[in-house]
Amino acid sequence: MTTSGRPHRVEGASSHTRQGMSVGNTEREVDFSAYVRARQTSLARFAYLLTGDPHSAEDLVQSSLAKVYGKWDHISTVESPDAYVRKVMVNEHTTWWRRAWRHRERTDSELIRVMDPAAAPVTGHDSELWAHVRSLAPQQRAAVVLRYYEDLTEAQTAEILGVSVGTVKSHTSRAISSLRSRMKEVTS
Amino acid sequence: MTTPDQENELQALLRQHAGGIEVSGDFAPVAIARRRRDRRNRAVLGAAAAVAVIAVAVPTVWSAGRGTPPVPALTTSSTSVPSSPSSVPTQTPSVTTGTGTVAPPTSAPPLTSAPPTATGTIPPSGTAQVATRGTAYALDDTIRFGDKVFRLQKGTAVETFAVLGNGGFVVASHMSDGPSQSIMEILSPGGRLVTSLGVSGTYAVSPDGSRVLAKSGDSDTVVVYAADGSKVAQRTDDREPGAIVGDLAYLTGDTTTGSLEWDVATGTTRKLPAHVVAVSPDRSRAALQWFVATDAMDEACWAVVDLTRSTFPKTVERCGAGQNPTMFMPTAFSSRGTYLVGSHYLDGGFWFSAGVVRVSDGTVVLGGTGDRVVSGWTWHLGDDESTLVISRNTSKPLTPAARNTVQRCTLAMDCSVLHPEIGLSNPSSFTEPRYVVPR
Repeated sequence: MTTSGRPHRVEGASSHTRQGMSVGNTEREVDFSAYVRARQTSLARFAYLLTGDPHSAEDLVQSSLAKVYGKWDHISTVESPDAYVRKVMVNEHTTWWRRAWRHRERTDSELIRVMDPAAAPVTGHDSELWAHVRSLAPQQRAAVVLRYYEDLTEAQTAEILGVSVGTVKSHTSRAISSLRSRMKEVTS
Repeated sequence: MTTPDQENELQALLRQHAGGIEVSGDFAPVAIARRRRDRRNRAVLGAAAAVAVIAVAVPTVWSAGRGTPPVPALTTSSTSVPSSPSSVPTQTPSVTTGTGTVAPPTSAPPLTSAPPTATGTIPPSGTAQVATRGTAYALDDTIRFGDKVFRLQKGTAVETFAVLGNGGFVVASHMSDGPSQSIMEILSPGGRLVTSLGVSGTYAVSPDGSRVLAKSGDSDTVVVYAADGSKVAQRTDDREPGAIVGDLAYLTGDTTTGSLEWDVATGTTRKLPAHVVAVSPDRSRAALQWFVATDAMDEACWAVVDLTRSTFPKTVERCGAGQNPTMFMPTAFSSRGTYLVGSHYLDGGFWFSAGVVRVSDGTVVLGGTGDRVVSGWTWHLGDDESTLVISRNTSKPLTPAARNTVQRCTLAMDCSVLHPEIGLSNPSSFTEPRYVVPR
C-alpha cells in the first residue's frame, strides 16, 4: 500500500530509459520487470479493491501491465510511473464495465492469493461495509479507493480518473452519505 | 457515527481487505507474454477487418446511390442502455436505442404532481410560465421558478441542473437514501421525463440551451440531444463531454488522445489541444485545465487558447503556485466571454470555493483563499456578466456545513438574499446542499 500517496521511482531501474534513450527489447524487459517486481503487490491490492475478487484483480493487473509494457519506453521516463499505471488500471476496469459483452481473460496462474486478514475477524458490520464498497459504480469505487486507500488528494484522484475535482468530491461525498444510510439500516 | 468516523472506518476496511492480498509469483513475464499475444491477435483482427470493410463498402455505395440521406452521427457500435434501478428518481426510461437508431422523444407520465401552492398565481392565459436560468432553482426534491413547483420523486437529491432553451431541464440527481449512483435526464418544460441520458455520466449544455452533449458512465458513446430530448447525433469516443456551442461539440481528452471538435451536423472533426473544459459562446477561444504531473501533483494550471488559429496559441496561461496560487479551475465562459467561471481548489470536504477570473489577463476577480473564500455548491454568472447567483454555504465556521441560502452577489461580493437561509440535516464535511442553482 502506498501510504504517502507520493509515487516513487524504483531503485535499480535502468537509467537509460529514464533519459528517454532508445533501448533494446532485452533492456526494456529488464527495466520493466524490475518495476513490476517492486510494485506488483501494491498493484494487486489496488486491483483487488477496484474489482472485489482475486480473479478479476489478476486479470486487471495482467491486462493493464501488458498495456503499460507496450508504452514502457515512454512511461519509464515520466516522473510518476505509478500514477500512470494506476490510471491505466482504472481505465481498463471502467472499460470492462462499459463493455459488458467483453470476454474477460480466464486466468489460471493464480498469482494473487487472498489470505485471511491478519487484523480483527471480519464482522457482519464489516461485511455490510465491504458489500457497500463493492456495490459502488466503478468510477465511484475507484475514487473512494484512491482517496481512502491510496491517500491521494482530490487533484491527484481527478487526474488519474480523468474527471474534474468536482466529480471526485461528488463521488466520495455520495459514497460516504450512502454508507451512512446503509450503516443506519444495519444498526437499526 | 460522524463523517470522520465513517472515513476512518472505510479506510481501515480497505486496508484490511487489501492487506489480505498476496502475490505468489511474477507478473512481469505474464504481462510481457500477454502483450505479445495481444499484438499478434490485433494483427490478425486487422486483416479480418480489412476484408470486412470491403464487404460493407458494397452495400454502402449501393445505398448512397439510391439517395439515402447522410446520417450525421458516426455510429460504429450499438449501445445497450441498461434499465435504471427501480429506485431512480423518475420513471424508468422507455428509450431503447437499439443499434444506434435515433429514438423519438418519449411521452412519459408526469412526475408526482406538484401540489398547488397556497399563494400561487395563475399566469394569464396564453403566457405560460417558462423557466429561465435566472428564475429556476432546485430545493430538496423540487424544481421551482416563479410560482411553479415541479416535485420530483420523494427523496431525490438534485446534484446539478441546467435550463434548456425551450424551458425544459437537464437534471443530474440521485436518491438521498438509495443507490449513490447518479442519473441524468432531460425533462420537458412541464416537468415530464423526456429522455434518460444515462448513469454516472457527464453533460454539457450549449449557451442557447438548444443542445445537450452527454455521455453515460457505462457507455463509450457521446450523444448530442436537442432540447426536446430527440437524439441529434452520436459518436463512439473515449473522450468526455467538454462543451457544446451550436452544432460544434467539444470532447475533452488527455495528452494521449487530445481533445476533439466535432461538427454534429456534418460529422467532420478537428483535433484540439488536450484538456479542453469550456469554449466561449462565439467559439473563438477554449479554456484548458490540467494538473502538473509531479510526484505531489498539486499544481493546477489553466490556459485560454485561440481556436481561430490553426496552432491554437495560448493567450493566457496560469500554472503552478506562483501564477495560480489559489489553484483556479475553470468550468465555463461567461455569456460574452469576458470571464471564466469555476472554482478555487480545496482538498476534501463537500463544498466548493467559487471563482471568477478575467480572460484577458488571468486576474482573479472573485474568490480566493482565506478571507476571500466564497463557499458554496453551485453557481453561475448572469447574462449581465456582473451578477453571481450562488447556492451558498452560510455556516460559521464553514465546516461542517449547516446553513444554506441562495444569494445574488456582485463581483465585489455585495450580496442580497434571493431565497431564505435554511438548515442542513446531519451537518458534516460531506453534507449536501438543499438549494441548487442552474449552471
